[in-house]
Amino acid sequence: MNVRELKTENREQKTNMPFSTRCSTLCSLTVVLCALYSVLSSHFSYAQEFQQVQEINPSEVENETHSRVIVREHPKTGHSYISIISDQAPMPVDPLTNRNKYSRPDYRMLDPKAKKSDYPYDGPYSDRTKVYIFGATLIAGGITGGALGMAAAPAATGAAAASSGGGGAYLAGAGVLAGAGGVAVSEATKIRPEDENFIHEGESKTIEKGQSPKGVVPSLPKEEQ
Amino acid sequence: MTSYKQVYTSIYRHGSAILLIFLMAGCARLFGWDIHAPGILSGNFERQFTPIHERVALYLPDQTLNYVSTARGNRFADPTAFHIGEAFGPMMIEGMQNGFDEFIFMETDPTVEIMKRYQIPYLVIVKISGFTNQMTLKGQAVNLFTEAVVMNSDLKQVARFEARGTSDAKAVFRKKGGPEVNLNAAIEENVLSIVQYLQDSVRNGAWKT
Repeated sequence: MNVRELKTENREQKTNMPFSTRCSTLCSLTVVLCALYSVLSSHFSYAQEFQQVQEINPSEVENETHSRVIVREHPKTGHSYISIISDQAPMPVDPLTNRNKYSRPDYRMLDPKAKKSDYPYDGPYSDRTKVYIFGATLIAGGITGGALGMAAAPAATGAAAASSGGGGAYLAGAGVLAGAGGVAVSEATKIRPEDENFIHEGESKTIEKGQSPKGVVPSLPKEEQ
Repeated sequence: MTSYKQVYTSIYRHGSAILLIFLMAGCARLFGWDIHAPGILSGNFERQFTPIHERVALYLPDQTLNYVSTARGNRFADPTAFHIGEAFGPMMIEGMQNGFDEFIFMETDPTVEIMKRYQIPYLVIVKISGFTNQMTLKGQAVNLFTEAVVMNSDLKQVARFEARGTSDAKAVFRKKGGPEVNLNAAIEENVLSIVQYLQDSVRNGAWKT
C-alpha cells in the first residue's frame, strides 16, 4: 500500500464517521473555542487597561513611601521611562495628554528661502486662510441679516434712517474686522525672503547655589499667565 | 423739540452699536489661533548629547504641564493661545532621557522617603516662569523662560537656575506649521539649556558636599 492509498483510506475513514461521533467532536470543539475566547477576552481587556502602564514588582515597594513604580511609554517617541506614582489612588492618568505622534521637525524649514517640498512637515498647523474665509462668511451673513432686520423695521421709525444709520454701522464694523483680517493676510503674503536665517538661542544661568536657608522645598516663582 | 423719528433713529443707532460690540467680541474669538507645538525634539538634540551615568528624577508641577500663554504679540494681532505645557512635558522628559542613563519621572509629590527608597540623588523641578511673543511685520520671535530647582536626596536645595529658549524666524506665517515649529524650537532650546546645565553640574561635581 503506497502513501496515496493510505491518505485515501484515512479520508474515507473520516468521511465515514458516524453522526454521533461528528456531533460529539463538534461539541467538544465548540467548548474549547468558548473557553479560548473567554481566556483571550479577559486577557485583552487587561491588556487594554494597562497597555500604557506596566507595573514593576509591586511587592517590592513598601507602603512607607506610599508610592509605586511603573513604566510608561513616551507618547511621542515610544521610548519607555520609569515613573513613580502614588499608591494611595487608583492608577493615575498619564499627565502627558497630547499623544499625537509626529515626525521630528527639521528647523531648516524656518529658513525663509526653504521650500515646502525640501522639508516635509506632518505636525500640527493652523490654517489661517480657512479661518478668515469662515469669519468673512459669518460677517457677510451678519451684514445681510442686519440689513434685512433694518429693512423690516416699522415704517414709523423711518426706513431710510434705519438703513443709512444702523446698516452703516454694521458695514463699518464689518469693514474694520475684514480689514484686520486682510491686513494680516497681506502682511503674510508681502514678506519677502531675507538673506538672514532664523535664530535659535538658549542660555541658562545660576540664580542661587547651595542649600536653601530653611532646608525645605523652596517655593517656585509665582504663576504668570 | 425732539420728534419720534429722531428718538427711534437714536435707539437704532445705539442698538446697532451694542450689537456691533457683541459681534466683534464673537469674531475676535472666532479669529483666535491655537498653537500646538509638535512636542518632539529635533534630530539635532540627540546628536548634541551623550547620556551620562547618573540617576536623576524630574518633577513637573501641574502649572508647567498645563501652561497656556495668550501673548498675542501686539495689540493688532489676532488672539492667540500657545499651548506650551502640553509640548514642554514630553520634550523635557525626552531631553532628560537623552541626558541621563537613569532617568525617573516623578508623578507624585516628592518626599524624603521616596528619594531614599529609590536612591535618587538629585531631583529637578522645572516651572515655566514666562513666555513672550514678539510679532513683527517680518516674522515672530518667541521666548520661553523657565526656572529650575535642583534638590538632593534630603530635599534640600542644591542649585537654582533659570533657562531661556528663543526662536526668532522670519516669514513663519507663510509656511504650513510655521508658528508651531517656531514654538517647538523655542521649547527645545530651553530644554537643551536645562539639560546642558544639569550635565555640566553633575560632571563637575558641583552639587556634592
